[in-house]
Amino acid sequence: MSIKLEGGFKIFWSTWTGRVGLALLIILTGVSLYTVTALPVAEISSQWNNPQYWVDYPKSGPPAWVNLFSEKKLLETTTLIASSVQLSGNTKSIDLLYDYRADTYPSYLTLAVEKLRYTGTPPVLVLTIVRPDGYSVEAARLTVPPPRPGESPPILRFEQAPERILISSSDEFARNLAQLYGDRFDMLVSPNRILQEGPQRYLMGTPREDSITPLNGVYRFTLTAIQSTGETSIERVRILIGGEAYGVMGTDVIGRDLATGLLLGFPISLFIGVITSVIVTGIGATLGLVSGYMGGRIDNIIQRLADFVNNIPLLPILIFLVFSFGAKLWIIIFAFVAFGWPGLTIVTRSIVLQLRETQFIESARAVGASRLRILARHIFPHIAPFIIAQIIFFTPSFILLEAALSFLGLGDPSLPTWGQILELGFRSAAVYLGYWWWILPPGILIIITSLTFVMISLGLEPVVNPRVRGRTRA
Amino acid sequence: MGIYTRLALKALSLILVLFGVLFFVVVIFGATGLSDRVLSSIINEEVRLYRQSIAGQIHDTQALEEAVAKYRRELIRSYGLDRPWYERLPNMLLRVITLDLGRARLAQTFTGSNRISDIIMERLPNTVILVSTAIAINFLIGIFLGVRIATRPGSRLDRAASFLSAISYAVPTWWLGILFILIFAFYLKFFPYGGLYSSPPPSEPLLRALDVIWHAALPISVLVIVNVGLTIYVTRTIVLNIAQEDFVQVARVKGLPENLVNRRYIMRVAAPPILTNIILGLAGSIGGAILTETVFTWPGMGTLFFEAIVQSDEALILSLVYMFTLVYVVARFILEVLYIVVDPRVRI
Amino acid sequence: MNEALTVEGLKVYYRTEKGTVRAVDDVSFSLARGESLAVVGESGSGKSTLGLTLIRALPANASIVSGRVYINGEEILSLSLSDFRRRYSWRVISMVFQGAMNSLNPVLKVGDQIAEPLIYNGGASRGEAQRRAMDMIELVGLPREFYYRYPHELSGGMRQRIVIAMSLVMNPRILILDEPTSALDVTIQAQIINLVKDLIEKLSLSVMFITHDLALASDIADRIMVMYGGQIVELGSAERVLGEAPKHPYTEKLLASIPRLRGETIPEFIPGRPPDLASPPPGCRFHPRCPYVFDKCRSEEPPLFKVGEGHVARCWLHGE
Repeated sequence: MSIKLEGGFKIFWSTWTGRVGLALLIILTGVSLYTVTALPVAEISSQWNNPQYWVDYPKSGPPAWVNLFSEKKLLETTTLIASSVQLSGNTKSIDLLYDYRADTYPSYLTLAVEKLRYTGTPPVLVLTIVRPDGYSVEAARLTVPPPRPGESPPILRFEQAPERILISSSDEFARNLAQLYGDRFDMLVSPNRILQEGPQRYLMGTPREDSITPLNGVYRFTLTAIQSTGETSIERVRILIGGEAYGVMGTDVIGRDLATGLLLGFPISLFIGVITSVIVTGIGATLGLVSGYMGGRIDNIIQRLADFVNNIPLLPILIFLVFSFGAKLWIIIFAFVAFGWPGLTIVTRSIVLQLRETQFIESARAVGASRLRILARHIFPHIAPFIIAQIIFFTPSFILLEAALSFLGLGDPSLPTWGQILELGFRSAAVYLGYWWWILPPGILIIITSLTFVMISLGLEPVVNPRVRGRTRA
Repeated sequence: MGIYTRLALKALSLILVLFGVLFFVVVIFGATGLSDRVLSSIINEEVRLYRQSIAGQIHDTQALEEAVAKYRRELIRSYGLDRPWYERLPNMLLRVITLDLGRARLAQTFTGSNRISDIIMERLPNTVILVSTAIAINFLIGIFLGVRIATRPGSRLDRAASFLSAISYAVPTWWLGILFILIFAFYLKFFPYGGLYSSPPPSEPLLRALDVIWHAALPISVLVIVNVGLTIYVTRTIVLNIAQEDFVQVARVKGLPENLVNRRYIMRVAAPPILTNIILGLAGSIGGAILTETVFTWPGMGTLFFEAIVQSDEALILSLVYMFTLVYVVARFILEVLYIVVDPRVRI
Repeated sequence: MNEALTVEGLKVYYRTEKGTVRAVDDVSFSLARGESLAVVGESGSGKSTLGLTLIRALPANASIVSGRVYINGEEILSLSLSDFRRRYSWRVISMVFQGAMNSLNPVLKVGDQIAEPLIYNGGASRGEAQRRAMDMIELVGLPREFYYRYPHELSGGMRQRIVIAMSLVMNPRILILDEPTSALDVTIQAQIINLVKDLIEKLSLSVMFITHDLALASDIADRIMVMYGGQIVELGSAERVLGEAPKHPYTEKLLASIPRLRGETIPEFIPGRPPDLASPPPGCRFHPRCPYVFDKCRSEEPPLFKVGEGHVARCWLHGE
C-alpha cells in the first residue's frame, strides 16, 4: 500500500498541473493559516456587518497604491496615533506630525480621545494645528466632564467609547479659519461657506489666484491640556485624516477594509469546499458501495432515489431551502449534501458492479469471506483512490455554489465570504460605478481557489486512471 | 416496447419528479409556517378590497367592522387557515400548480398588474429566449470546434481547448458577467448595463429587435463562454472515440465519399452521447440563467427570483421554484424525445 | 491470366513505441480464380495485417515498406488511395472485417449500409440499390424485410450474414474474410461456413479466409497458407498440408493441438510464446519452440523449400 502511494505521488508530480495545483494549494493553506492566527478573526467576523466598527474608514475607497499609477494623487486615509500620553507639569502638550502629500483634500478630520484619566481640575483639551507655512489655527476644544458625586481621583473618562470630535463639521473651526484667511491672506470668506465646502480645504489649502490649492507639507497637530491643576493621562489619542484611498485592497460602501475581508475568505471557502465535498463524497460513495454490492431491492431503491434527486434542478431548490430555513452555514451545507450525493452514488455503483464480477472477488466469496470483509479488504482499496480524487474534484463546485448563494443574498451573513463581498458590491451598484477594486479581486480569488482544485484533479487523473498515464499532455 | 412506450415512461418519471419537488416544497412551506403567512396576506388583501367595496354602503363604523370581521372569518375558514397546514396540503398543491398564489409584494408586470401569475407569465418568455439562444449557440460553436479539434488530436489547439475547458469549470458565470459589464459597459461603453430594452424602447419593429439583441449580447456571451469549453472538449472526445471505430474504416473502404463518412458514420453516431451531455448540463444551465439574469437585470424569471429573495416574498419564491422545475422538466422531456429520434438503439 | 491476386515480396511494418514491428515480412503468394485459400496462424502472425494491406485499410502507423500486389494484372499498391477506392475497393476486392458487430454503423438500417456503395460509388438510384441490397440479404439466407432492421436488433449470426452480404453487394471477384466466426457459437459457425462455401460456388469467388483455427480452415480451404512471425512457413494444398506429407514443424504442432471428438490422444500444446515481431529471434523464427531444432536453425533463416507438388515449407529439415 505504501508503495502505491509513493508511486502514485511520483506520477502526480510528473504532471505540470499537479505541481502547479499543489503549489497553489500550499499557498492558499498558508494564507488561511496566517489569517486565522494573525488576525482577530472572531472579532472581525462578528463586527463585519457593524457599520460603527468601520466608521473611521473611507467609503468605497480605492486601494492606496493606485497613486502609483495616476497623476492626481488621492489622499490616503491616515491615522496619527499617540499612545499613553501624559499631559502634566511642563509638557502639557503633545505633537503629532502629518506630512501632507496629495492633490485631494481629506474628506473628514476627526479627533478621538480614549480613556482619559485626570487629577485636579477637569482639563480642557485644545487641538491646535500648525500649517507648513507657519500659520496656526485652533481646531477643537474639548471640555472634559467634571467629577460626579462619589468619584475620587483619578477620574476616568471616555472609557466605553472614544470621544470623537468631527473637526471637519465644527463651527468653531470654520470661524477660526475664516479669521485666519481674513487676517493673513486678505481673503474674505464666511464661516458658513467654509463649512459647506469643508474646513479641511481651507486648513490644508492655500489661496492661489482665485481658488484654493492644496498646501503640501508637514502639519503639526498639537494637543494641549489647559486649566488643569493636576495630571492628565490619555491612553490613546488619534487624529483621523480621512482620505479617499485606503489600504491594500480599498474599501466598500460601508467602509470595510476589503483586504481583511478577502483574507478572511480564504479559510472560509477552503473549509466550506472541502468539508462539504468530504461529506457528500462520503455519503455518496457509501451508498454507491452498498447499492452496487448488495444488489437486489436495496440497489433498486437507492438507484431510484438517486435518479429522482438527480433530476431536480439544483439552484432553485437550494434557494428555496435556504430561504425557508434560514441562511446558516450548516443549513447550506446540509442542502448541498442532500442534493449533491446522487452523482457519486451512480458512478461508485458502476465501478463496484465491475469489480464484483472479477475473479478474485468470486474466489474470495468461494473461500467464504464475509460480505463486509470483501467490501473492506478487496473492493474498498480499489475505490479509495477514486474517492479521494472525487473529493478534490468536487470541492470547487461547492465553493462556487456557496459564492453563488451568497451573491444572491442567501449566504450566512456572519461569514465574510468572497461571494458576500460581491453581493454587496452588486447591490451597491459598484459595477456601474466602476469600483474595480471591489469587483475584481473576490472573483479572481474564487477562480484561483477553484482552479487549484481543478489542477490537482487533473494531476491526479493519471494516478487514478492508469489508462491515461504516459501521455505527455498534462 | 416501442418509441411511444418509452417516451410515455420518461414523461411519467419526469412528471413524478415535478410532483415530488412540488410536494416537498409545499410541505416545507407549510411546516415552516410560511404558508400561513402567504395565506394571511392573501386574506388581508381580499379583506381590504371587501372593506373598500362595502364602505360605500354601510356607514355605521361598528356595523362595518362587524361585517369585515365576519368576512374575514369566512375567508379564514374557506382558505383553511384555521386548520393545521397539512390538512391544507392538497389545496395548496393545486394553488401552486395553477399559480394562484395571490399578489406579489412589490413586483409588477409591465402593465402594472401584481398578480403573481401575470408577472410570471410575462417574464417566462424572456428567460426561455435567453437560455435557449445561449444553449443553441453553445451547441453550434462547441460541436463545430470540437469536431475541428478532433481531427488534430494532440495538437496545440487541442491542448489549448482542454485547458480552457478546465478553466471555465472554475469561473463563476455571474462574476464573468460582472466583469463584462465593467469592461464593455463601463469602460468601453460598447454595450448597455443590462435590461431588455433601452428606455424608451424604439418603436420601429426592426430597430426594436436590434435593440433587444444589443441588450442580449453580453448575457448570452457570458453564458456561452463559460459553457462552451466543456462542450468543445466533450464533443472532441466523443468524436475521437467514434472516429476510431471499425465501422468508420469500413465505410471508407466501401468507397463512400469522405464527407458522407463524416456526416453519417461519425456525426450521426456521435449525436446521442453529445445530446446526453447537453441533457446533463441542463440543470446547470438553469442555475446559470438565474444568476446571469440577475447580474444583467434581464427581466426574466431569474431576476424575479432575485427580487423575490430580496423582498422576502414567499409566495413568489414558491411559484418560481415550481416554475423552474416545470421548465426544467419540459426541456428535459424535449431533449429525451430528440434523443430517441436520434438513437435507434434505445427504441427497444 | 489465371491468377486473381498475386502478392510479391510484401513487407508491412508498424511504427510503435517499442520500435518497428515487422508484421508482414516478405510474403509472396498468389490466389487463383475460384480458389479458396486459408491463411492460418496465431495472433500476431501477421495474417490480419496481410488482409488489411490487400484492401488498403491499414492504420496510420503502418507502412508498406516494399512489395507489389497485382489484381487482374494491375499493381494496386501504387495507385492513389482515392483511385483504388473508386475502382477496386469493394468492387473487385472486398473484405469481411474481424468483429461483425463493429463493422456496422449502429444508427443506420442494415439494408441502407448494404445499399450505400451502390449509390455513392456505383451510380445506382436509390430504388435500384435497395432492391439489390434486398437481393443480397436474401442471398445470405435472411428475409428481405431485414433491410429495415438495425444492427442491435439482430443476433450475432445474423449480423455476420449481413456483413457478408454487404461485402458482396458490388459483385467483387475476391473476398477476404478475417476471422468471420470467432465470436460465434459453434452451431452458428457451421452455418456461416456453409454459407460462405455456397457463395463461393454461386458467385465463383476467390476467397482468402483468415483464421487461427486450423480445423475451420480444413473445412473450407482448397489451399492452406500457414503464417508464423510475419512469414509464410508453409503453403500447399489442403490435402498435402493436413495430410501425411512432410511439413513445417509448426504445422505439425498445430495439427497435434486440435482436440479430437473421440480418441485416446490428448491434444498437445505448443510450448513457448509467439515471437516478438519488434525483435524476432535470429535464424528461423520458430526455432525457440521447435522440437527438431539444430544449430543451423539458430543462425540462418531458412528460405521456402519445395516439399512436394505445389507445396513449400520454410524449414532447414527440408532443404539445404
